[in-house]
Amino acid sequence: MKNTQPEDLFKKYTAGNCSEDEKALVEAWYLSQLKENTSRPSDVKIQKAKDEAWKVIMPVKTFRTSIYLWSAAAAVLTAVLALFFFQSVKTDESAHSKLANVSSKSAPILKGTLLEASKVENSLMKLPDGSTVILEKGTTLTLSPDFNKSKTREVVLQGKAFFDIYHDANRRFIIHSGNVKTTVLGTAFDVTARPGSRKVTVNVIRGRVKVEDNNTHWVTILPKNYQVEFVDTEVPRRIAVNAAKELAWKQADLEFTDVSLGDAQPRFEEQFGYKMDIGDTALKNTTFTYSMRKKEAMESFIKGMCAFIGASYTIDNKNKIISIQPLNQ
Amino acid sequence: MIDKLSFTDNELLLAFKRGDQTSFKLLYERYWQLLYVSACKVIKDEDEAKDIVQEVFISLLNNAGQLEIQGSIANYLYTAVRYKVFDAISKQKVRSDYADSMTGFVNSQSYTTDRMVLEKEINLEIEKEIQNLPQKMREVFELSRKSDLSHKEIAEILKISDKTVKKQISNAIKLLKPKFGGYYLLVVSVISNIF
Repeated sequence: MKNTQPEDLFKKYTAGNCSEDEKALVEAWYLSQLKENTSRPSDVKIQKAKDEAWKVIMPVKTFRTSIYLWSAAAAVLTAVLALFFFQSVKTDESAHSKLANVSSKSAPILKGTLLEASKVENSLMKLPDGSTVILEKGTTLTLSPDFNKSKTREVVLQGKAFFDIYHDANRRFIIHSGNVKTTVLGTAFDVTARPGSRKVTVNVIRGRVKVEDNNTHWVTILPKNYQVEFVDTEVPRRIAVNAAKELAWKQADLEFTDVSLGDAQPRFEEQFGYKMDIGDTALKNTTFTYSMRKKEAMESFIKGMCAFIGASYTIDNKNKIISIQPLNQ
Repeated sequence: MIDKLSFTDNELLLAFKRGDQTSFKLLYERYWQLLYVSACKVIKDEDEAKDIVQEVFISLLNNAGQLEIQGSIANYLYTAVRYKVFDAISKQKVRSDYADSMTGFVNSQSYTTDRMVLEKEINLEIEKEIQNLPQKMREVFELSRKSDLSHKEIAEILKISDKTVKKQISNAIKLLKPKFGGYYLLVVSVISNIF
């Protein structure tokens, strides 16, 4: 026990690796916290938390008219989610008609802007509302014709995408994929819809999203690190997942398609684990199209990109900061 | 002629495992406050505490069919929340106050290593919150938790006679209406089936 750092005990405990003595220690600490902390939330807060949690816990059956019931109650948060939608490619006719049925139901958007990822690598793009998306290779995303004007921002997805949604509480962002509709009021998430089986899966990394199946009318709110599967008419089943792992796909080769340095910044910071400091506003707004390899070394990538946009860089390895400046400074 | 509110934990659990969702809701009503308050005391972040208790109930709901509970549902819930709390603490990226608190605790060395005793004490500590529950809930809770009485006996003790049951239920519905939201219709239909 002497060799174990106290903070590691919690991890060991949940992993089931504690000795009996260590278990007793962690449990005794838990007891000490219960005893020492006599303050408790107010009754009003307890009741509020109870009501809010129940809405998430129990999936509900609903009908189209009640969609609007779910309002600003969850005045949402940042959401990161992955939605997997597979439709199996079957050769019999019934499958074809089902497929046709699905697309007619799920595609209220007849004519819109079609965004297509490159065939060989993932693409990072910016949407007209300020949101950014990463589309997996081969993915298409159709924006509704009045995407930037109507009360909701709606898109139809075929394939897989990560979304970083520009927060606009008054204009919900809705993704249609097969029969499943995913609504986000927050800012960032990730979606897949691929030709495959009828099974639909949604992952949430942080925040909350509302997911509904147009066929079965089941609606569920997903908290972070949960995945939901819609299978026929059963109650949707939620499974705890490591959503960060489920989103690992977006770490693959990536093409930045006409996005600004400022928009790409969070992506770089995530990839390299370094803070990025771009002092110059004009430089922040410079747009570029450039590819990043999955295993490309940070410096090689930064060097190439800076040459492309006409900038210079310094890397502070001690404080983990990349600074980018215009060439003439 | 049975008021479901007076069901014991075990009766509710059995009904829930057979697919009765009202029983699940009643277990939720009975245990939310105890679990939430205890989680808040350790994790000290009300949102995180809420997520933790929420997760415990989602997993209970998911596993209704294959649930094998050794001991009481109360003990199961307390233990599940404890694990989730430790899990949440261990996932924190920055070195936390919990680690410091634990270090201080390790050095103080004043605790029993008998885990049976610890569990009992933890449960007692959590159940201190029972005194803050609304009166009716407290009575039902105490009777069904602390004794082996059947719901019939509890109904008798609480003097929930045939005559008063109807009134009790209509009061309960008034009380539950804003809280249950859409579920109150379900509750009403279940209750009205009793008559």
